Amino acid sequence: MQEEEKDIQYVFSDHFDRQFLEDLYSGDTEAAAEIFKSSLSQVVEELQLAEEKAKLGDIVGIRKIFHKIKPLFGYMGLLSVQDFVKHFEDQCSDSVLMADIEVAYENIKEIIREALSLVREEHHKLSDYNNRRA
Amino acid sequence: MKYSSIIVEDLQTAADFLKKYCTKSGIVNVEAHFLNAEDALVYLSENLVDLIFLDVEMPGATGFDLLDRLVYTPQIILTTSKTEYAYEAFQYNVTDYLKKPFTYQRFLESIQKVEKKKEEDDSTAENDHIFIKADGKLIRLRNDDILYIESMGDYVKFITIDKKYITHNTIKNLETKVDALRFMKVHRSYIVNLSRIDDIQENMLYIKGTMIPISKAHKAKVMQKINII
Repeated sequence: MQEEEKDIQYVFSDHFDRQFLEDLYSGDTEAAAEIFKSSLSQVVEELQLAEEKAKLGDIVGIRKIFHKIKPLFGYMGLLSVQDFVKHFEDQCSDSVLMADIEVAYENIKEIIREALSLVREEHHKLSDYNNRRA
Repeated sequence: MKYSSIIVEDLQTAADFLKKYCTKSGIVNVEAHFLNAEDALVYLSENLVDLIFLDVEMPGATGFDLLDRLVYTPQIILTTSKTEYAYEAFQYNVTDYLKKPFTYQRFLESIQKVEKKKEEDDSTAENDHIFIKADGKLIRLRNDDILYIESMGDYVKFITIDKKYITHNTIKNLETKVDALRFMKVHRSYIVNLSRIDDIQENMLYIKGTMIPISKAHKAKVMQKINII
């Protein structure tokens, strides 16, 4: 029974770009779990910094933070979220006042919040799978 | 051949990911990772690497600022999440441009480009010098000026026309790094510049009055290499 479980290939949930994750990790679920975990904590950290920049009306600072976190969604197989972040980054580049991006900023935070919730679930799933195989 | 490299990347996850790919490839050693260009420049002022994986947008100096300030030119693979830098990348003659995140297959394609460029560089006349780390800095030595290289245990001594330099290295390692058309290992302790040999007598060769032994193992190859009429 245990041997059979070891042979079962991990399948990422529907929300994630499976093919891309397969290309990225080539079945290395240990690496995937590790990268999901570190990406998750980095996004959370960077979003806190973005909040500080937002309070100061520092659009350049916000743009830099979103530029930095953008590829993390790629590492987590959420390519559509990566595109949303890129769009927001471009909006920041084109704006001068905080008021110009306020709505977009709230929207992107909401999108990311939902994405992170999916990532947490997937990380748990990945960790369980890895533990069963260990 | 193994390539020594550093990663200059402010995103820890991206650096971790890249390190895994380098390890998996078996041909790229990651000597260090830097979160900003300034720290990388300090390291590069005292260390030689074959390859730099370089992010563009980082806190402080950008990846392009780093390229402007490099004293020597290792191969560069830009790793960025923006495609808009392609023009600058072309201007800086970088080896490749990887958009994060990238797959292992795409990473391998980049390394193949590195290998190809290395072969091209090795075969061009521009490859007329080497850099050595001595006296706390990187010193450019023209191949023409080097008479011979002598082993001193974990160190080697570069004897040039007018100066001697001692650096931490081995003859075995240098054997694969120096221009094979110009230099040759003639003994386990010596690499000589073939164009600087004045004369050969029995199992000794002479360069500017210095007697250098030729080992039995290398004698035949030495005789093949020199022009005997």
